[in-house]
Amino acid sequence: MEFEEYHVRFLLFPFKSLYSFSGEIGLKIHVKFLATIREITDKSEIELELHSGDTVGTALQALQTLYGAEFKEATTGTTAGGIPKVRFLVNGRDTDFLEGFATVLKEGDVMVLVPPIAGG
Amino acid sequence: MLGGYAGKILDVNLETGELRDKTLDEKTLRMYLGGKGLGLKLVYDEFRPDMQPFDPDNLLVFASGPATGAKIPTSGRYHVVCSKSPQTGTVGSGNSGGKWGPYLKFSGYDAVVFRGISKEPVYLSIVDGKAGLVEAPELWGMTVHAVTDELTGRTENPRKTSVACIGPAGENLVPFSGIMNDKYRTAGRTGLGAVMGSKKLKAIVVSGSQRAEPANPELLKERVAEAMKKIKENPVTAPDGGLHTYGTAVLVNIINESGAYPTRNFQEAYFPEADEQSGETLVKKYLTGRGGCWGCPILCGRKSDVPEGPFSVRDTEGPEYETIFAFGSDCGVKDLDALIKANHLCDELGLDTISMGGTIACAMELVEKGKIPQEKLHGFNLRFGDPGSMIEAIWRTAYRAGIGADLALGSKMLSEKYGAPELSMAVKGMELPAYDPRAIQGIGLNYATANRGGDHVYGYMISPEILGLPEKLDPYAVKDKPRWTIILQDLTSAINSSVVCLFSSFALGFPEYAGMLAAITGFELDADKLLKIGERITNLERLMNNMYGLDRNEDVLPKRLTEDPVPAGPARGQISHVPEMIHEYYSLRGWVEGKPTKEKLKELGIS
Repeated sequence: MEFEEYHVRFLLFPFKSLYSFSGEIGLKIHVKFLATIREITDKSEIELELHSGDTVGTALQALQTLYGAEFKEATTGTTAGGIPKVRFLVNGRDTDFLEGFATVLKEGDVMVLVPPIAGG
Repeated sequence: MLGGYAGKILDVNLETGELRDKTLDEKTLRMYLGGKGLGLKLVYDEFRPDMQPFDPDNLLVFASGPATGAKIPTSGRYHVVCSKSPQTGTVGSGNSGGKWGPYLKFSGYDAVVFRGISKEPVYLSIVDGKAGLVEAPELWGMTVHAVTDELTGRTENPRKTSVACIGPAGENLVPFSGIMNDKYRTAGRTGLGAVMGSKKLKAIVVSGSQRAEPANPELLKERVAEAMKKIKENPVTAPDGGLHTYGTAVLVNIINESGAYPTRNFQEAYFPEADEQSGETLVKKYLTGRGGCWGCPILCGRKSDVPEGPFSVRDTEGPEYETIFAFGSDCGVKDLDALIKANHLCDELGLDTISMGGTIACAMELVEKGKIPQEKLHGFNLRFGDPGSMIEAIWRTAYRAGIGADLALGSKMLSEKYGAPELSMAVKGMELPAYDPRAIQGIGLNYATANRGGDHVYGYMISPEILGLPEKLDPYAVKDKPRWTIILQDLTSAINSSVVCLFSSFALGFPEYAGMLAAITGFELDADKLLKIGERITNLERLMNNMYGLDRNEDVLPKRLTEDPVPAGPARGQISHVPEMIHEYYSLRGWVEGKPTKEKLKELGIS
C-alpha cells in the first residue's frame, strides 16, 4: 500500500505510461488531510507524485482513485446546506483566491484538504 | 408580563447586606433585550467616568436574556458586565455557558446586580425566588472545584443547582482572573473575577423550577424547528459535525496550515509541531467523552483524561482551541498533555487561559532577551518550549509567588516594567487570541476595534475568512473587511443580549434570531430591527469607554503585527493592514476618531 501511495501517477492521456517515455518532469507535493477526511485516509500526510502541469483538480482525481468511494463522496460537491464539502489550501492559500481546480502545482507545494468544520 | 422574562432583577448591596427586587421597564427591554445589553444599560444608568476597578460602586451584573432557559437551541448561556475592568480600563464584559444562566432564570430572576464591598467573604444563594447572602469565610481560599462541590453539597437538590464562583486568582485580584461556573465554564476575559474578588463575593448559587413562558409558544415551536433544521444540516454544528466530533481544537491544524497559528509570543505564525496538539490528536489520545451546555444540540464540549506521565490529570474538561494556542504554540510548547493540565489548573484557580498564556509567552520572550534579569527569577527557569515552567508560571501567578507577582500584572504592565513594552501582544491591555492578524486581516480589525480589548469573538471574522461561513472571504484582502466586521460585531452584541451561543451563528443569521426572539418576547422584531439593537449595544459600550478616555489611540495592534512581516510558513511576508482599514471602519460606523457622533447616538436613542 505504501509503495502505491508514494508512486501514484494519474494518466492524463492514453499514451502516457508509468515509465514516462515522453520525458515529462515528475514532481512531488505534500498532501495533508484534516479531521473527517483524515479518518477516511487514515493518514495525516502523504507525498503525492504528479507531472508538471498537474493541477489541484488532477491531484484530487489522483487522490480519489487512491482512496476510493468514501473519499470521493467526502470530497465532491456540497453539503445539504450548500457548503463545499472540502476546501483546498495550496501553500496556505485557499484555492478560491488562486485558480480554483486549475491551480497549477509545483515541486514541494503543500496542499491541504479541509472539511468545513469549526470555530472557537 | 413580557414573554421569556422572569420579570425582575435582584439588586444586592454587599456593604449593607440589603437585597431588593426591581422590575425592568419594558422600554429598556425593547431597546436592549437582556444579557449584555441589559448589563450595559444598568451600568450606564449609574456611570461615573472616574470609576476605578476596585471601587465599591463598580457594578457587577450577571444577566440572562429572554431566550435563556427557553426551548430554543443554545439558550444555556449568560453574560457578565462590570462598570470598569481592572485589565483594560474599559467596561468589563464576559460570557459563559454551562447551566448557570438558565438556572438563574429558573431561580426567578433575569439578572443580579452587585454593588458595594462585603466586610466578610460571602456567597449569594437564590432558590426558587428566595435570595439570601451567607457569610462564609471558610470558603475563602478554596479552589473552584472544591467550593463548587461544597456549595452544591449544602443544597437540597445538588443536581438542580448551579454555582458561579471565583478561585484563588480572583481572590488575589489577578486582573485577568475569571468567573467560573459548573467547574469548567468561564466568563474569562477582562478580569471579572478580580472585581468579584474585590467585593469579597465568593459564589452565587442558583436553583429553582420557575419557567418563563414565551409570548407565542406555537409560533416559537415552528421557528425553532426551522432553526434546528439549519443547525443539523450545517457541517460545523451538525450532530456529527466538526464541533461535536473534534471540538474547537479542530482549528489547530486549519489555522496552522493557513499560516496564522501564533507561535512564541507572535514571533512566528507557523508551528511545525501543531498536529501534536490538534483536535485530531486530542480525539486519538485523551478524549473520553463529549458534552455541552444546557439546551445545546451542538455539544462541542470535551471530556479528557491524561492517566500517566508528568502532566497527568484525571477526568477533566476541555481544552479549547484558544487554550491550546495560549499554552501551546504561543509558549513554544508542543505537549498536549501539558496543555490539558494547564487548562485544568486555570479552571481550578479561576484564570483566563488566553491572557494567562499570553502573559507567560511575553515573560518567556522577556527572559530570553535578557530583559528580566536572572536574579529576579530566583532559579525559576522560564523558557519557550518548556512545559514544566509554563505550568509552574500559572501557580505562581495565581498566588503572586516570586516572579508570579510580576506575571500577575499581565503582559502590558509586565513588559513596561522590564523596559520592553513592544513585547506585549495585547490590545487595550488584553492579550490577543489564537489568530495571527498578519495572515487574516479582518480578525485583526476586530482585535483593534472590539470594545473590550484584544478579543476574537466580538466579531468572529474567522467564520467568513477561514471557514467560509456564511460566504468565503479572502483572508489576505482588506477590501470590504470593515463592513463585514461591523455586521458581525453588531450580530454578536444581539446574540450576547438574547442570550444564545455564538456558535449557533455558523448556521443561523439575523432573520432566524429575530424570528425566535419575536415569538418569545412578543416584540415586533425582524432582521433589520435586531441589527439596530445590536448596533445600539455596541455603541453604548463604546460611548462609556470614550467617557473613560479611550478613543482611536487605543484601537491599535502591537507594532510587531503591523510592521514585522511573518518570517516563515504559509503566510511568510504578510503584515496586518489594520491602519489602512480603520478609517473606513469608523466612517461606516458613524464614528469620528473612534467615537460615535452625536447624530449616531441620537439615531440609536442613546442619551
